[in-house]
Amino acid sequence: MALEHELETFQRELPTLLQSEGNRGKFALVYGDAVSGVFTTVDEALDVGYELFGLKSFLVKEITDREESQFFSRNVSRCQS
Amino acid sequence: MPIVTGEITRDGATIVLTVGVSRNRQRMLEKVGHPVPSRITVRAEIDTGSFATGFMPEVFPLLGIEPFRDILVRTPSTRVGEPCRCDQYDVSVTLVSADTEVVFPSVYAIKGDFDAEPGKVQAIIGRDILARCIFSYFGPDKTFQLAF
Repeated sequence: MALEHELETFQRELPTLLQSEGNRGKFALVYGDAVSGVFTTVDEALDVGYELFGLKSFLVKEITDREESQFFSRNVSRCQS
Repeated sequence: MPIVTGEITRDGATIVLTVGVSRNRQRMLEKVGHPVPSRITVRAEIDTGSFATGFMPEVFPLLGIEPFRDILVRTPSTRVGEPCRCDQYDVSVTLVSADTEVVFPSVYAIKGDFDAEPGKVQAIIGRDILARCIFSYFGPDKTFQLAF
């Protein structure tokens, strides 16, 4: 996946992010080795991500230790548990 | 509100829409003088059962975009209690009614298993977009209306 490095960064930083109760349920903006900010909505994180990183790939990920799944009514191209 | 009226076919309630890069990405492309990829026209089924909108895989490389996150989903082929991970992409979706276009500038879309063949269902409109629309399904008349 394109964001492998950012996903590793997020997993590494997640315990620290979760230590601050106010972060839970918010969204982390991750680029390279660093978390660039925490935002209330995905839209806000995307806005700032485009401003900071332009056309480069960046990750937006919910800060949670219990990720919920939702139903998508077609099979998906990339599927790993 | 613009309205699209259609016939309910064996594929369900379907409409034609266009998908393009998100407004944020378009702004960035224009800022650095890169061409903005043309919007792609697809036939989409209105699907109240799906939490998100999805497109055939061919759409994303044509738009030159990478995912911005991965999420957990359940699909028709996942086992109970065993969701899978899939990528989400930031795109724009444009719905058209007569000469009125309504743009949804940032939609978090999923790459789904759809047939790219013209005339087939190549996408679904999920509850993320439907949350901003009024959808009426007139079963006995085999028609539907989507206001947006």
